[in-house]
Amino acid sequence: MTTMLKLPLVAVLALAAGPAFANEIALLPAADGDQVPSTLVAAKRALADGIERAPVEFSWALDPAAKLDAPAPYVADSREFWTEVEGAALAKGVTLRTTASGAVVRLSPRAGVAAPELAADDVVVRQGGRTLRGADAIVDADVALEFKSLGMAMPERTLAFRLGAGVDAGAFELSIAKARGAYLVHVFEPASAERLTLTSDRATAVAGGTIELVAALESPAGRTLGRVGGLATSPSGDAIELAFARGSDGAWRAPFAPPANATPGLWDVHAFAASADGELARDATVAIAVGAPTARIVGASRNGKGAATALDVTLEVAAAGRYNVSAVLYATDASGALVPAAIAHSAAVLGAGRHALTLAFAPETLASAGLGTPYEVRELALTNQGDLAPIEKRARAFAFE
Amino acid sequence: MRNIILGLVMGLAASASFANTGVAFVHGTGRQTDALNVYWTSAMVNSVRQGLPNQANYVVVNCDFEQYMWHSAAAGCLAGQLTSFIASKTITDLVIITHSNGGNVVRWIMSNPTFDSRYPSIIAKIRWVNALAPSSAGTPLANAVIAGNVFESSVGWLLGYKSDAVRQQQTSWMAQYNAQNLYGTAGRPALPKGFWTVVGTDVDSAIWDGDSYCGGYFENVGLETTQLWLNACSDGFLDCSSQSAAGRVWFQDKSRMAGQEPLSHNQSRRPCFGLDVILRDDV
Repeated sequence: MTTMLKLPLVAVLALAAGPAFANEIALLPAADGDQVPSTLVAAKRALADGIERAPVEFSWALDPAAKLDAPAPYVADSREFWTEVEGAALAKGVTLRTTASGAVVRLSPRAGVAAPELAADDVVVRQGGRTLRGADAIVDADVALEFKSLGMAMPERTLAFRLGAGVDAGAFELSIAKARGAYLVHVFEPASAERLTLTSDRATAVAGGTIELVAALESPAGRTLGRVGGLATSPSGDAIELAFARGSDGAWRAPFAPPANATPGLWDVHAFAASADGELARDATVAIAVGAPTARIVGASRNGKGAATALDVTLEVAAAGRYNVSAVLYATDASGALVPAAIAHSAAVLGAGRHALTLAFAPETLASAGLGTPYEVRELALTNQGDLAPIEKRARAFAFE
Repeated sequence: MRNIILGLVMGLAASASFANTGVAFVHGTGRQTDALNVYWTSAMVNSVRQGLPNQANYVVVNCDFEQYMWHSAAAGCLAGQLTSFIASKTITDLVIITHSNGGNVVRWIMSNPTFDSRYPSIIAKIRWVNALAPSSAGTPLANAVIAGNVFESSVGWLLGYKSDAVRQQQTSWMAQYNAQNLYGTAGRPALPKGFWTVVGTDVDSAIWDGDSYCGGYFENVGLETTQLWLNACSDGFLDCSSQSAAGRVWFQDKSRMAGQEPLSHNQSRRPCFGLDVILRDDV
């Protein structure tokens, strides 16, 4: 069960607007690229079995010469596609299209559907009036076995093989007379130059927010995309259809807006594309981390009992959980530049309400590196350790002397 | 650089003069109950532990690395076995040798010290991690195995795939973990202890070449075919870029192996071409 809890925004703003006490440190304004939940959700979820209950803090020094950057979103690069065929159709022959020779074809029986064991000798390929059978049509018929030897077992009764040199790029008919049930057909073209890329404008989202997905075709043959479909699938299997639309630059874009009660964790986002001439199919997948907005950072204060670099980070918690804050402390070097000095983590099980987690940046690391004030806290992140997806991320969070 | 750090650490160890060094072998993907014989081989483990002042100070970890890295049966199990080993042998200086996906589980512990109250004391004991062919940026082979689970017109897990470890090692998933949950990759904060990688760059599987038989001939033949999914520089399971994505590269295979032999993914956990001696000399 999920309920929405709209926290008094005025009260939060009052905390963020300026320090009421000398020890309080206000949040710096959020920057482009920061992820800040605007509305909290009081999702009632039990703590995961076995989750740590004890508060834990940890800090270590960083190399001041290290350059830290936010990683760019992942770009999927696909030379493959999937299609689904009925066993009866495969028995008669199905037409597949490739753009390069040497494609790898995999036939996997659909889960829960009875299908006979297929063998390489059963494969028949017809192309340009020629009929090639078994070893004349394919090479490397043990692909599934090879994957299994690496701990990457394909589904039971999968047949995977590479098309032989006698099969040219273009359309061909694949048939296996004893095919029954239903199969997923995977065609991977390692030698193809026709590639679909899929990426997003940011790597993470908070439930209730929106990110943009971008699909584009790189085609030396001059093909353009005629259709792009998409599906985002949650860790629990819920799916949201994505509506891609063609932009003036030829790329296709779709908004992805996980609902406020979305299952947190890594979502798989799939794009299924076909060229305008109907000769090319490509599928691509990226993962998007979706956080549940069950808490947020509202400020910090100096930890009176700790070192000058120990901060109590104040959290507003709407749903109980084990929360972790982490951040990098930048300190000032002899030249006056801010450089990375230390990183700290702090986690505890917290109930609904206002709490503080202490980031105790190790002070000895600063002295030994000749670093001092002023300080900045950067790469501040808030995570629920029950689902691991980031709830809040700020590139620059606090500045203090 | 590694020599400089080694000197610093050895200097510290010498000044303490009571360092009690131990080595832990951490396997890759799979649910292991006899990793000594099934995953590493006793020839590998016995060779490496000869480098220990006390050769009894070693542990071969057996955990369920079919799970996600943070799972209690994965990182939780590893933390339990390392904690017991450290306590029972009074280890103060721990070298971890890990292979493949085991590197991700170890990196989870070092990147998330507050996830489990046992992690900080383990991290404190680690001298460094020697990560043999770690799957730090995942592998396209995992993409190939998993991708068909969701299909355009058919919502659901069509292939019923169950291994979370394989799911975890998809390249897009590892990119997310590296950006949000793990340290040590480019642009991210460094890990609290060194993570030194050994990179396999090629696979030899010529039937007339005796070197192809180290680690199992038929496994290496298989790795030739899986290279279709990989870049020109790979060990048959992982691109070199994935093996090099986290920590620092200690060495690439051909620069240190006898006869400048490459290490396939199966060979980088076996006593092939002098790898065991290099690891022995490092503990």
